[in-house]
Amino acid sequence: MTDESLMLCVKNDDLDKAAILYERYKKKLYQFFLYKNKNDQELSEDAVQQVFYRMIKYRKSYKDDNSFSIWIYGIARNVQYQDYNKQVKMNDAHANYQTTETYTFANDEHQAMRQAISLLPENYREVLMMSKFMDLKYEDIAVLSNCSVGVVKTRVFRAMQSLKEVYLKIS
Amino acid sequence: MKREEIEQLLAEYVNGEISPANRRQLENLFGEDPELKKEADEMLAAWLSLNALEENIQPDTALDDQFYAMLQRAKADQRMATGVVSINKTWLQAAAAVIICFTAFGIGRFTASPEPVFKYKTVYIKQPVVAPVQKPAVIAAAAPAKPVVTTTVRQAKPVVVTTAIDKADTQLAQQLRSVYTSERIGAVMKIAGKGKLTDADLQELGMALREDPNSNVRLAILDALRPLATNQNVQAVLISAMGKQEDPLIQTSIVDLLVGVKSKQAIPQMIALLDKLDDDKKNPNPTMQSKIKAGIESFLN
Repeated sequence: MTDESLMLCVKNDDLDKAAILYERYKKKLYQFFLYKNKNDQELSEDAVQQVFYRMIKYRKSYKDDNSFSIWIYGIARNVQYQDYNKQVKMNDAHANYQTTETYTFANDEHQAMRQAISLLPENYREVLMMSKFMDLKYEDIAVLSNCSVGVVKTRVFRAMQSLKEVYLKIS
Repeated sequence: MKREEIEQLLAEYVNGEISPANRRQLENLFGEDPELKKEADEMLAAWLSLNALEENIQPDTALDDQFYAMLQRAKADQRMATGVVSINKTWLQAAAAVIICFTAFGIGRFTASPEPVFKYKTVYIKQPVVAPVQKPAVIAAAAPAKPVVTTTVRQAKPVVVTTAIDKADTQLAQQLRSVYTSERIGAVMKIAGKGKLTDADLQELGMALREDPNSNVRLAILDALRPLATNQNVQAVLISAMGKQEDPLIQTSIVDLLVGVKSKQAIPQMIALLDKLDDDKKNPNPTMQSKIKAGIESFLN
């Protein structure tokens, strides 16, 4: 069954189908949040949980002709946006405290790559996440980002260039 | 080709979304520019290295536990919501039924008539009349209780005969009151055929002569009484009926009968009838008047 047909079942109160969608998307969403939250695993897991909670709660709002990937990613972006606002408030509360940002030089190749991704500019990192980890097509990303397909492709190319440079610096 | 267009082709190339035409165009560019080919290879290697990273990243199993717990709660909430809806629906139906019953009772209670309503329909059934045999039978049956047996036997016979006559008389009397003219005339003929009239017969005929609406029946009665006109009782019946008649033919027949037997008892009634005829200016009947006058004169002579 396609993601869309599964979601239609969920919409019609067949909640068992939500488990299949969860298994298909949990890892993608987790990676998406992980890079958004600078490798904070606990925060990312909570965000994934929140996405699926909203998917079930607002299942009736899913439209039949919608792409499920785009719809679920829209939810993920809203969750991330709310988490970001909370984080900003917390940062404002701790503004009086001086913090020092430190870079960890990791020996592990994967760790270095994760760190390189987290250091990318937000617009580059996001299109890279959507394309690589969410398996969204450039056309879908363009719809979600409200820009042209050409802009998305250019951002992906430049994200890969930046990633290469940052990775080389770290490693 | 602009640099931006080449970058977009490379983005398609690493992602695998490149069309065959764009691939051929890109390969031509690789042939013309080896540096571009090297750049594309490095980019593809970096892209593929992310695959390993993707496989290496796994969420904690606690996430699964949390999700499935949340899913169970959602299903339980859904079941409860469905149950509540169905219970509500049942309660609503029951409440609606009770309200309808009370409303119907109230409407019936305050709009119904306090007295029961009956619709009457009169049905006339024509059937033979059963003669009342109780009293004579009782008398006849009581008689044997007396000590003298012979007397009882002697008295029983006339009682039985009288009962049969009474039964026949009663039938004739009933027939004389029939709604059918032919039956009434038939009854008159049967009474006349008996030869000797009893007082009851005469009484019935007299009543019919006065009250019967059909003149043919009354004429038949007069015919039946004609042979018996000498009888004082018959004359009395005729005299009493004379004043009730409106039909001149009947009046004339009665007068003829009474004049024929010279019944002086009829004089006062005949004078009254004469006065009545004198007063009736609308329907003068000089023949009748002259006949009555001649009759009275014959009585006096």
